[in-house]
Amino acid sequence: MPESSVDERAFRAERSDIDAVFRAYYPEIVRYLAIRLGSVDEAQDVAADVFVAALGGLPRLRWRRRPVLAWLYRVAANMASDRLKARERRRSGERRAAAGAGSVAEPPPVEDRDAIRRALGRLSADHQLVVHLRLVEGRSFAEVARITGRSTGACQMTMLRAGRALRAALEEEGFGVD
Amino acid sequence: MSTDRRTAAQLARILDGDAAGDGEALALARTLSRAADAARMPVSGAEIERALAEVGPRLPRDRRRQPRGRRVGGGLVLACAAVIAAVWLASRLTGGPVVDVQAQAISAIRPHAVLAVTERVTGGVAGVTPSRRTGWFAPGGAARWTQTVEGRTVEETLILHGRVTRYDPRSHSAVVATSCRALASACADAVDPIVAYRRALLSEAPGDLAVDRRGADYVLTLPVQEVPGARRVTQVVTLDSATFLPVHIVWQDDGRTVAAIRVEQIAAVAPASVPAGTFTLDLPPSTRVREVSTQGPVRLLSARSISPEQARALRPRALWLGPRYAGRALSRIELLRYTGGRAVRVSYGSTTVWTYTRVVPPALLGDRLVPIKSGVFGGRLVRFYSSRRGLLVAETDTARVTAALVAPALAGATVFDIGGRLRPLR
Repeated sequence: MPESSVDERAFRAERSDIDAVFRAYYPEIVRYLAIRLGSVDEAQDVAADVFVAALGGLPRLRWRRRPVLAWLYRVAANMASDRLKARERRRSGERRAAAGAGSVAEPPPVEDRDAIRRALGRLSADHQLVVHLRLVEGRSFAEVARITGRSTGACQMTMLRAGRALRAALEEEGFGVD
Repeated sequence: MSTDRRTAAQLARILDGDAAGDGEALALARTLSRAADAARMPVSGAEIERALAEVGPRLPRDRRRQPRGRRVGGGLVLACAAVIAAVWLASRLTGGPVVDVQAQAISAIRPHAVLAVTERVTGGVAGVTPSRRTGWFAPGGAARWTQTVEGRTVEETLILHGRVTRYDPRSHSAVVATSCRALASACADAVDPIVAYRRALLSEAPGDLAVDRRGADYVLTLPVQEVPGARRVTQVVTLDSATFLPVHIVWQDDGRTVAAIRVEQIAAVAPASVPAGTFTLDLPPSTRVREVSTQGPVRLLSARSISPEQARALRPRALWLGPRYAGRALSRIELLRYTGGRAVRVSYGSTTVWTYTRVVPPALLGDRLVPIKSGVFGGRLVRFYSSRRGLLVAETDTARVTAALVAPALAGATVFDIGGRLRPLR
């Protein structure tokens, strides 16, 4: 009860100050979208839409033991998912056209950092979110649990699976993993 | 517990910086951290303001402070009036505006940020040399700091992925441990007063926080350690009334001051904005590195009394306090063999000096409580912690060994003598 009261007070304070919410969370939402979408420019575009949509609904948001940030991530995850589906449809069309013309796509340049980002981009949305919240943003597992609405143990298991999936993805990229 | 659950829990502890790592969990922790490094990307304040300006016209500003479509009933109006009256009355009684100090203090330290801190540390007892610590402390447990005395570095420390590296530039030596738990003092100096303050503040229930005024500033009293039957360690924290950031922290052990910290600089930095290379410690070439092991349980294989002559023949040399200490004659010297290493225990009645190299004697690890603090005594950096049996322990490193002085209390035979009196048994 006491801890949730602190959370609830923070929730109510944030719900009433849209500018402060934007300034506090815009950077991490952009970073999260950059992982999901694989492009910083696209991440910034989508982040703007995320804040417009999420903050539009903010005054009506009820306290359900989850911080405002959880709502932002939910909207961001949905928008990223829509964007990826649209991109996949577009690429399928392009691939069909390219196959018809007989062209061959160039392999992407292999650089460590890019390869790691690509490997990160290949993780599932759940894995990406937990890795992003815990390791990129430095939140504790307890906080990750509050934002994702899962138990701490479930978040730790997700991290384990994310680590294994990442290792497999990096190996496919041609990187030895220690 | 399934193997995967155990591995997941171990991975979490490694990522939190408070566990030894090996096998799959450690390999995954490294891979994940490497990926996180690649994903960190600073977003500048100017960029945020530009984005806010662009998005601004599309945000629901007219409804910022009032939920839409709410009908405010008469009862609610009365309730609001009562709250306003109470606030006004409280304000009149206290002579100033009512401030939620706890909320302001939490907001000021930004719980998810990396803290960049410079602090001046003094002890509450004679003999402590004032020192300065400059460091970075991440919420996940990673830490990197340098401790100096009069501008001279006495120790550099890095805690990352559960590994602890302490480098002493004077002896050109380093101690490496697979986790804080491997060290007798459990990284006493890792419990930075600011980090301990942040942790205590966040775990305090709203309204339970003891807040006093001292002039214009606020003074908070928070626990560091509250274990039934053990010594009570508290922190008395003075907050700047304008910024609500801590400016002065005093640690008290059963009411007695054991350390006073003046916070000279403090900044909360977003993890993505921490400069690259902050959490690294490059040991100079030819540094003598001693690894403290924690692989597997440490068991006592044998213990026997030895004479001072036999003790003098041991290499590396054991440390002691001389043939007499605090009015007590040397009563016993013992050589203890453990799986993985050995230790020498020199006893002066109830005061003992332990010397060990690769393994920490289980007797020291067994009932330790919160690390109290570190300080510079007689030129040595000494870390302190208390035990459940009411003992106070001081631990320090030399180039070849670690020594721990265990005394029943602060009074009388005092552990603070570790800096000045501890010497090789020759």
